[in-house]
Amino acid sequence: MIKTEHLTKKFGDLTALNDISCTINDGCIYGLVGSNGAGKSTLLRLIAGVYKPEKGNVTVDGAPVYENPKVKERITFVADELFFLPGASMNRMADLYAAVYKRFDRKRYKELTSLFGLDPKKPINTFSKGMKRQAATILALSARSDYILFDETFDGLDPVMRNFVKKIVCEDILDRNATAVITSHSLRELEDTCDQLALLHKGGLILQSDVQNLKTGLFKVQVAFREEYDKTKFEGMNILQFIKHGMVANIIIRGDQEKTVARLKAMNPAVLDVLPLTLEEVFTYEMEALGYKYSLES
Amino acid sequence: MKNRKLFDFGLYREGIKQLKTPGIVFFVIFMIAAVAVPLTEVIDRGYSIEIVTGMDMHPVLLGLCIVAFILTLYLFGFLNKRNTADFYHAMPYTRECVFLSFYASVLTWLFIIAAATSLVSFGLHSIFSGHFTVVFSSWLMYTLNCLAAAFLAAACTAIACAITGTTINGIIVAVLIMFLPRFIIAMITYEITLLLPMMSYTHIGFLLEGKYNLLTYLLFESLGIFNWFNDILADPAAFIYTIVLSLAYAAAACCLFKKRKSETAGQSSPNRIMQAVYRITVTMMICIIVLCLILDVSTFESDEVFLIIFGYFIAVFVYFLYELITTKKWKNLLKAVPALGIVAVLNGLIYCGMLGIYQAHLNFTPTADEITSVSLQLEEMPRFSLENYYKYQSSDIKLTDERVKQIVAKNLKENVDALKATRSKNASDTYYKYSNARNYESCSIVDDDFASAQYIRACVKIRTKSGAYYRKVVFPSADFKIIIDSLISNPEFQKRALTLPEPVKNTITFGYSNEKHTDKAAYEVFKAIQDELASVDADVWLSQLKSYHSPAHISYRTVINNNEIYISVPILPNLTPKSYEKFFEYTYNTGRSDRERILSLLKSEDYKKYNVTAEIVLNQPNGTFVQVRIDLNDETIPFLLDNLVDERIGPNDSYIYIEIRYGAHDIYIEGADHFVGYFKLSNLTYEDIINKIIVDNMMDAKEY
Repeated sequence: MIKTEHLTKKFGDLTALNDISCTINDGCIYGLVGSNGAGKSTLLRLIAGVYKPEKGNVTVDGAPVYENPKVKERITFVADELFFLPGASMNRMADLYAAVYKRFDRKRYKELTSLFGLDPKKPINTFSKGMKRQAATILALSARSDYILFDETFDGLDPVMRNFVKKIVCEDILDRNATAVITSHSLRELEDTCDQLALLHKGGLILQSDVQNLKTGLFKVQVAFREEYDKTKFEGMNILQFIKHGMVANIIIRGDQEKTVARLKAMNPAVLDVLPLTLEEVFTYEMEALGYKYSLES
Repeated sequence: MKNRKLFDFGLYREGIKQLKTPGIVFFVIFMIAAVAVPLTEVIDRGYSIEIVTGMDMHPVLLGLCIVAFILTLYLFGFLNKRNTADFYHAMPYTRECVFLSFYASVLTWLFIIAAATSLVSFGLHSIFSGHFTVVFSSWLMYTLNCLAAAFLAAACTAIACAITGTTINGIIVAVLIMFLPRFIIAMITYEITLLLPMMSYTHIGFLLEGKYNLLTYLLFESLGIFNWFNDILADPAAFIYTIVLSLAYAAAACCLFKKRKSETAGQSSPNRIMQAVYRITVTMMICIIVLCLILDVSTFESDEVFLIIFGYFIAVFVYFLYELITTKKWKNLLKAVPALGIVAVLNGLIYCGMLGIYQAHLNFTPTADEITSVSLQLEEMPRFSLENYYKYQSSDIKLTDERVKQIVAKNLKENVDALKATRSKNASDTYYKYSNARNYESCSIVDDDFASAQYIRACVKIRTKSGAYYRKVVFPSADFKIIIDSLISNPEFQKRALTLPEPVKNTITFGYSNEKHTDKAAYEVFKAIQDELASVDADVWLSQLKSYHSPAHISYRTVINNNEIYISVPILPNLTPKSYEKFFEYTYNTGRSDRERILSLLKSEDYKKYNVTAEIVLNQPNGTFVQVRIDLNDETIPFLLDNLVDERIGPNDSYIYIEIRYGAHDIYIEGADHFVGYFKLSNLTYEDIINKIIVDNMMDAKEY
């Protein structure tokens, strides 16, 4: 289990992360979402033991990560800017990984290389951007670490390959009960992959929750009554947003969907539709509820 | 629990692999040089045997420092890019482990390049033993010195990599770390020795002497700034100091590497403080020069005030320029202003230090009672003559005579007072009021040379209870003669004077010939001299030592403390008669063809195409001999031909030494015909020579 407590990281005068506390349970795929400069990469580097926090700490199963090889042995970090030795082929990089990560699995490496159809003897610098990301993913998965950190690794892949890579990663995580932390500036990239999601904004952790809870805990209702009404009619419901156009109101409600719908039906509405929310909408409304005016794609 | 492993073999091997390409390139370059040098020498100078030291054998090895610099920058270059820094810092190793494993791989490559190419060089020189005589100890010392210097370069570069975030800044800071401390020391010591001419720049004091830091020394040496190369081959202290320094620097680099933040990658410096340190350091390089000018002005009446102001203007300009270039932000110039105060304080402190050192050395005028002993020093290694070898050997002989101590104390005091009396730019001239003072190194200790000079300037090592100091003192020649007499009568010196060092194989030459004799018989002549000399009276030997003048002498080369020294030993019939006989037996047996050729040339007009020199040694009935250089021409040759006989020369025989070289007078043509021969002169007296040959042709005559 990865745990951060009051984690703060500064770069000169800039506070990149401020008082971040979160818990990433074993066996889950944890998504970190946020706009550019939100602090996603910084958090990942802190978890990987690359950066030393100014305040707070990062622990894995209770042990600090920074300068702790025993813990770092269990973590593989795939940075947003990939690193390959100059002129190296995948096989050469595999040698490097094998020298560094004692659990590096050559058999798995060969399987994945052939699965992705990459030539392991070809210099990586001749690969396309997407192929390089595939190569980095293969190497990271072959390291057989307990924790794999992907920093916007899938963002450069075409949709087909992205889904394929995600599938491989998910299978690998499930098979080994490993843990993955994936960052992206786009929530759409993460919503179908992650078990847990966290939103970072300007160095702060705004929200973290189980994806299933997020999706079911918030829903949109379109309702109309024959008589005049306003928001007070729905007193007792946890309303995040209430917009009324004419007789029709669009309401975002948090709570038990079945019970809420039953209550609404009892009010004898002229129209009652329950509309599904995308994860992106859920995030947007949750953030607005917290007082943030924020567009996830911005 | 934390794993504190400091070294990882897998990572070390990875470092070796990553350096493979540059390592192999340098290996090939060095190997080509190691092979090319002996082969070229063999082709170019096939006829002669040379003593080769490490430097002669593998000069390119000096470039190992540059290799160290490049390999370190290459391997630790990962610190300068965010993605590479992230990768390496995310690896499951402590930072010390990454540093030490990678650093070890750099050192391994350096060792492989140095060891393999040096061994090949040594092997090839040994294979061509007909052309080279290899001095093993010198080769070993040279290789070790180059390695030590390279290790230091690697450590300095590693420090620079740890405290900078860009390659260009890394290079600048590495160069500063390597050379700035020595530059400052060199500037200060140079200035002080300039102001105090009685100080010896080559004996300024242990760590202050440039030769101890082999890295800076090798650079300065290759630029021709120093000329102490032989010294460092002789002195393991330089090697030890450099290795210790490189270890200290490597430890510092390791600590800084551990402290380094990964996010420094891509930034000119890790933080504002370090940026200020670099800026101040660069500025101080100029300030040091200005401080030397200030010391000039404050100790002597000097008119360099304008230069000082101009110098500080340049220093401030560089201070801000550095900030602007490295940070590319105008607003940072304002932020840099307060740190100028640090520059000012540093200037004040360094100036006080310089003044203190200056005053301390100026006021070093011990009394005779305070001096425990005195030794005469050579400032440079001797190259030629037995006498210079003796001077070299005398440098650790302690003269403890009261008179000697008094003379040294008195003259040093007078020298210092003379210097103090004149506070002007002409101080050096004042010190050398005795401007015609002859240098001790250029005068003979066994002749009456002193009489011809009013003053002698010599470097003396003065030992006191508080330590040893070297001073160049100007002595009246009469005073100096007393010191020399004390030296010559010193039992240890006398013992050394009668002990000839062994020659390096195949380097013995006879007379003025350049031909090196390789046979056993030639060595036997040397052994005869060595044995006979051991039982000669030292006083008589030294008083009669006239090494330059006797045509009957052998020369050879020897190696002392890894320095090649040429020694020329006269063979005197009255002191070493057996050797004298053996010498002529040998030259008679081996010089037959030369003598025949000389006679045939002299009998024909052909000799005019040659440069002919001749020297006659006439033995007197009383055991002394007269030596005369003569000019051979149409008038003198017939007379000489009538009187010389091609027979073995005996102890009481007079003889003529004739040397003939092809070519115009005084022009030496390498490889051209060259003949030397000793001929017995029959029935000739001094008067005959005077009356019949030398009247107008005598060039020089001396009686011994």
